[in-house]
Amino acid sequence: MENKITLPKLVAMLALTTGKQKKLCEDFLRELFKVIGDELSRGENVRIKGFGTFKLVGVESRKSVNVATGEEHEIPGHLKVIFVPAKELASLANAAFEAFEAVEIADDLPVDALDGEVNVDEFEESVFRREEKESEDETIEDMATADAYGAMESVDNSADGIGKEPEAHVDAENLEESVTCDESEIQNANDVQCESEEEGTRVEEQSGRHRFAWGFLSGFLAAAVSCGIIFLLVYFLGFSCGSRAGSDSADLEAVRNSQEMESELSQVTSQELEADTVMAVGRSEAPEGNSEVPTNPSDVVVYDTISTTRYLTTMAKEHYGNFNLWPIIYEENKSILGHPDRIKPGTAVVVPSLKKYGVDPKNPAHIKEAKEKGRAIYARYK
Amino acid sequence: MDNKTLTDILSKRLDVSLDTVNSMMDGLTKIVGDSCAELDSVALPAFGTFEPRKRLERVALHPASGKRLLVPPKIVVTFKPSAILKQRVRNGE
Repeated sequence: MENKITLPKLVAMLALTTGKQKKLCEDFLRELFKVIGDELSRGENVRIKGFGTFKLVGVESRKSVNVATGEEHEIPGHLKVIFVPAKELASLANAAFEAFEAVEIADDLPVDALDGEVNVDEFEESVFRREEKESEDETIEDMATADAYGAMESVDNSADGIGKEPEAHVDAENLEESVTCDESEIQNANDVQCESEEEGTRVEEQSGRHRFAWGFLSGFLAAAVSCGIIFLLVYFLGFSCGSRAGSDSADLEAVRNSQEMESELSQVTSQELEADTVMAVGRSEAPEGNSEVPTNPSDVVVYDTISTTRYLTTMAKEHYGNFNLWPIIYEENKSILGHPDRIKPGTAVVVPSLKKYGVDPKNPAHIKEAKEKGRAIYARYK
Repeated sequence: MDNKTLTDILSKRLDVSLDTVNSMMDGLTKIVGDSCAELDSVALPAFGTFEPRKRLERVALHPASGKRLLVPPKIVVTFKPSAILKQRVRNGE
């Protein structure tokens, strides 16, 4: 530590590491630095592999004042030697700290938390206190969870007796019967289904043991509901020419058809499926009246896809007649878009109607507004 | 002057093989590096001193992202030319 290694010591160390004679080592060192010195005084740089480079740097002449006499005099320009260590030597010398890397500091960390020893101590103390608190919390949590487990087990035992048979099967059977009777009854059955579902979820919360089974069942229900909706849509497309008055009875017919088709499946699954199609009918009947009304040409949503040759500007030019209006498309789809110049090819975007934003492509004021908006979008990503 | 020329001159003057010169150069690098890691300086008469310098950790700004970085401390090797070498370089011999 802080020692000065002189030439004799250096010779001894070099002899030890290389296994050569001390005489040779001393000659080597003397010759080496003599050659380097000669070369430098001749005005040449010297580069040694793995060690570093001795460079000559010019110093410009400057004026100075003699402190004792106050006289001004000029220091002439000259060369000076600088040494740039090579990577190998630098890493050898820095071996103690080489494992560390520059760490990013969080923005909310106050600057004074970093400098000053007192602050560092305080910081450490606060960290220590926080750790203590955490460990306390953990013990409390452990106790609480242990209690909860005890309670859960007792609930499990009681719930097992009640909720062992999944309610869905029962409801499915109920519903199957009601399908053949009347629509109002279907509505009732749906209510019953909802209630039983709620019950089911309650049981699920309590037991947690049937969670996997219920998860599977709910997934199945969702799939079956979508199947029912698709079936209904197909039906309406096929029979849209038929009168609206007969649609209710036609509904029932459709349901029966679906039942016949699905009865080929295994018993249990078909029961579930039928129940779900009925549910789907019940649910989709409410919006069905509205779904056919809003088909005005102005409200049609236009989709377009970004490609390597189709940009937002291309779309704006095509759909609006002016490429400067691209910010309108961008704003409509900003939830899925990032930097306007880095949109992935294949991204489908909605091209909104110009009426929605009240923009007229022939109005120069609107174009100017759109240009400004585009600039604002770019500014977000700076 | 590059590394090749220097080792050639040394092997000729000392009358040893080029390999020997190279191995001794590696040994010198290792000794200077290790002693600087222990904060010992290496002094060479009429040439100069290789001195280790401790650089404290500091907060620096990342030039690209503008984020603040905590740069770890490190030890760097500096060279302090002796008065004789300075004079020789100044005068150009």
